[in-house]
Amino acid sequence: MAPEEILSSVDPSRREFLKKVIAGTTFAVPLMASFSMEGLSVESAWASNVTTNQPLCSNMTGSPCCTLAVQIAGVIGLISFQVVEALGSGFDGVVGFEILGRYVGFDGKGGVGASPEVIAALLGPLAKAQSDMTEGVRIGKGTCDNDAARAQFSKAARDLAKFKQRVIELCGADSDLSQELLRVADILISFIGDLVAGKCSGPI
Amino acid sequence: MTEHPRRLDGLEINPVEDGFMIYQGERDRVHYLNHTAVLILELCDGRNTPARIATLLKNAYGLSEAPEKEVTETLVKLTEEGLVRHAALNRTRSRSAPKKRGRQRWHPKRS
Repeated sequence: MAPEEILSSVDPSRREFLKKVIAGTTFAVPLMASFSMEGLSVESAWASNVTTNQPLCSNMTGSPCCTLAVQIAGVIGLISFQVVEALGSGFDGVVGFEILGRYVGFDGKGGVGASPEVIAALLGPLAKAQSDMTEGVRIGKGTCDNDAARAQFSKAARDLAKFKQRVIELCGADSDLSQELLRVADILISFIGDLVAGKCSGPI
Repeated sequence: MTEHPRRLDGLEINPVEDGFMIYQGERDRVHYLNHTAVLILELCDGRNTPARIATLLKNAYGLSEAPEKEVTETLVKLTEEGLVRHAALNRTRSRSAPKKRGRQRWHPKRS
């Protein structure tokens, strides 16, 4: 990294910050994920498929934010399962299924799908996102609205953004499957945005 | 005519693990950017063109080609999210235009 040229091209007041940005980095594909802090309505397409009015663990009580966080974690796990089911053939041999109630293509049996490496590459960020969500609940001290928990949830949003990037890189952006995965990831990121903003009133 | 993207003033760019977060209160939006995307945002100072930004990235990271496509796509996203504005400047006229306006304003022709 030779930052001199790039540093000299910006306003002096921004150089210190820029130094920190580029310190020790190598080029990576630019990645940007944005999400609204506004709450999504439960009538959203995602919600209509996964709506539940019951906490995931009915014998537990918890804050709305922790409940939402753990629901998001659960849904991420569901997506992981759906990725394997849609791209792999390890369950009943039928490749291509529904994701969240919508058919995503690949009808036929066996032989179509993705390599284990591709599936693993997609599952990786999902697993991290799920782990971040559950870790956020753990350090959320019963309310999940402290800074530490919010930072952890933000990391989950980032992992989902990475998941989106990998979907595009590995599966393209145009297939029905990719579109569906990207759409669901966006919705989950939005829910995490609600969570980070402390808007935890409704279940997913 | 060349576009000179310029980032919004007053953006708070907060480092987090593996990237940066920007909270845009007026739009109630939160953005996560990795370091390359933030670098592109930082280079949007109203003076650099997209091509210049790509060249700076190429030189900084020792790339074989300027990542023009990546820069363009990122600028589109940044613009859509309202983090960047595009100022269209015409360099061939920029030097003479102020003079012309000045003459019109301060030295109007007598009829």
